[in-house]
Amino acid sequence: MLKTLTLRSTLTYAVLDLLFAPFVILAFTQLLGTGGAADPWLTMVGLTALKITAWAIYLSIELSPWERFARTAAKGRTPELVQAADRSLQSLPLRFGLVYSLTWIATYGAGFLIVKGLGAEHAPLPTQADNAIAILCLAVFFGGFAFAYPLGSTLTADAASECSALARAGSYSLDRSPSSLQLRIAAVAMALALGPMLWMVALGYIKQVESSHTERVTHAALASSELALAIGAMNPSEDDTALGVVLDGFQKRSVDGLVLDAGKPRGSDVATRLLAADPELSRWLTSETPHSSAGTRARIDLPYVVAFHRVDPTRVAVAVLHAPVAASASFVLSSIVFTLLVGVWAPICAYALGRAVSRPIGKLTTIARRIVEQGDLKEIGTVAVAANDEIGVLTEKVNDVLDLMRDVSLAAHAIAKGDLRAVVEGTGELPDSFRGMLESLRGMVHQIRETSVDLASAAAEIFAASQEQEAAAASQSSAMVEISRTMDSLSESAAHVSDAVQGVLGNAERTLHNTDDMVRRIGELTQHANRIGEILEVIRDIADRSDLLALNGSLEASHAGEGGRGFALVASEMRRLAERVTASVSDVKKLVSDIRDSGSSTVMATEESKKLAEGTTDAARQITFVTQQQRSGTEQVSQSIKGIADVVSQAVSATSQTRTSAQGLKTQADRLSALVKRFELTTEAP
Amino acid sequence: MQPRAEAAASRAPLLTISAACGTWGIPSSAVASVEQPGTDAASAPLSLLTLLGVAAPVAPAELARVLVLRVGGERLALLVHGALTLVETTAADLLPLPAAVQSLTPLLSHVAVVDGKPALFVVSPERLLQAARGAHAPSPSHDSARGSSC
Repeated sequence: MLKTLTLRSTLTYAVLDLLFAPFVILAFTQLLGTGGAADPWLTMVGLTALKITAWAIYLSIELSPWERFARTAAKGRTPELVQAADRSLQSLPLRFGLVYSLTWIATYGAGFLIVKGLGAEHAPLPTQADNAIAILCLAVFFGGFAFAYPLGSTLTADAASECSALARAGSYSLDRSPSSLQLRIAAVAMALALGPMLWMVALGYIKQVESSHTERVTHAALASSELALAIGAMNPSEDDTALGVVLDGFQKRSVDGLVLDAGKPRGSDVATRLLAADPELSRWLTSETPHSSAGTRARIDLPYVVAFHRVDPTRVAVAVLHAPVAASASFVLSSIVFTLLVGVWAPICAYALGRAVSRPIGKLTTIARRIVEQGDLKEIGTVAVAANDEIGVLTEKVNDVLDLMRDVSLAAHAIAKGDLRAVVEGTGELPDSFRGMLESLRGMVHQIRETSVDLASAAAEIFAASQEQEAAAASQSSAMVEISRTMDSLSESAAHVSDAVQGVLGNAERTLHNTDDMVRRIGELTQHANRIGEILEVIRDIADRSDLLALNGSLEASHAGEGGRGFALVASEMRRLAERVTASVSDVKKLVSDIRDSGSSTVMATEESKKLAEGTTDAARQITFVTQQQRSGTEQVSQSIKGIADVVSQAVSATSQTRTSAQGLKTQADRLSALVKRFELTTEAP
Repeated sequence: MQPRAEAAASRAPLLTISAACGTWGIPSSAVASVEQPGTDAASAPLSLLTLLGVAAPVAPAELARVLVLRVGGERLALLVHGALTLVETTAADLLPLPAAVQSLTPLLSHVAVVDGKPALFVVSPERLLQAARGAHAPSPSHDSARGSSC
């Protein structure tokens, strides 16, 4: 499978071109009379290769919009892309047909010029070769067009159809100019007729020229023979006067005579000058006459033919026939007339043939347009069938389709009026589908009938339920409003509680602070008491020592006897003082101990108070937190209740609307039921 | 001069020790000094009550005193608990010990009644010295160790 249209088209044209090329080149060389010479063959092969390259490049340029379209994914195929691709496809057959034909002309023209440029030595051409090549170029132009145009149409048909399908699917139009099938057939037919015709004309023309050349060669040979006989009949001693008389007779037949002997050539001045002017001719005569009794030298491109004939061993008669090659005038005239006749006749015939095809198609097109634009099947009637060919069969089938559409149309009319008893005959997808549709319609109508009854009943129930729901929703709405008010009051109370708890929290925190301060001060007091105890201990120790000292003094005084009495009294007094100090110290120690005990008790009580204050603070904080949460929750609940109240209010409204809708629904259901009753059913649906 | 000399001869001042289980008296002439306990840690004083064989309850430390006796040129430290008072007595105040009390301890010499107050037992310094010597000697017999409880 060849992937791209360009490649596919190029290969198709190239294969067919290459198949034709050897025959065409052969015909070309034969036409020019170059036969099997290598140079023209090689030239034409090279030019053919250039020709194929040229039209292949043009083909790829012409089809580039299509290839861009083909490379684009389906999503990216914009209308502009499709339109550009279609434009290239639509214009390709005509443009490429012309380009293809012109490349053929260029090939032949260039080949001819090259061969002509090689010179007469390689390829002597008659002067009529120009005309023949011109006719041949016309022939290949028409022939190439007749070949390339229909083939191009065939190659691009599928791609153009794809563009058309895309445009139809995308609901946009393509830039296609109106065209006539008849005209296209006529153009192809004309090209098809003129191509071979002109080819044959060119060939006939050149053959006429070749025949003329052959004829003059024969005449020249005959003239040289006659001249040799005439000269042989003369006495060799006769002078040039007698020879001039003989040659004059030949000159009247456009033959200039000449006698070659041991001396200078004698004879016609024209022939003598020709011999002097054409060294090749002189060499030819010098080389041929010694060992040949007769010979002819003729080139188709020269306007004369030279022939010699041996008169005797010493003399040779040379005849120069002045007769340029020419085609028969009658042949040229008849060819022109016949070509013109074919050029006119072929398109007329093709047009007539195309009309035989296009006329029924035109009728069918008109009918199709009326069906599409007017849709009036009754007025259309049937299309006459002219023959049992493809068009006839197509027409017959269109008539069948029209009959089927009329049946379907009648049935559709009946259905539109509510008569579902319509019957559609025939087989195929459309009647089967229509019958299926009709059957479904019957079942649907039946179901609609039942449904409309159920719907009316349901609508009535919905209406009643909506009324009850509306009343309940209204009651709910009132309750919600009341709850909302209660929640507002609750929220306000929660705010008061929160404020009060804030006060309690402040007092508790102050109490805690005071208690801490008190504990600190009691601690300080205890430290002071301890310090007092230490001082008291020192005092007690001093008193003890004083007591001991006084006791020892008393002892010493008693040892001293009467003399120590006074000292004993002092010591005794000191002891009493020490004892009193000791007793006081004990009392003070007792008091300090009591202060300590009281301090400890106070500390414990204060700690207890602190714990209580902390507990109170925590409790107050928790209460504050809970109260705030309660306040927030109450506010949220209040908002939610308000939202619910709004929803309930909306529900009341919606229910009211539902009730109204249900009422309308029941009315519509009643109408639907009445409407469906208009349909007449032949059979009850399952 | 006679009366003052008589009066001086009849004086017998006592250093009384008012303990929890009674009041004891030691002739002040035998007491060289009163000191606080713990001042001479090397020579731990003997308890008077222990020597007397009286099992007394533990007294507060602040009431402890060490009596330094001088008997016949020897020094004896005694640990006592209680209030120390110097009491002026006369020989008339010193009464012989009852037989029942004398049998309890040999360290007492008299019983004295001063100013109508409860009788106090007067300890003999010489016997205390002897008892203290015995206390430092090997362990006493069961009889000497046996004491009374106050």
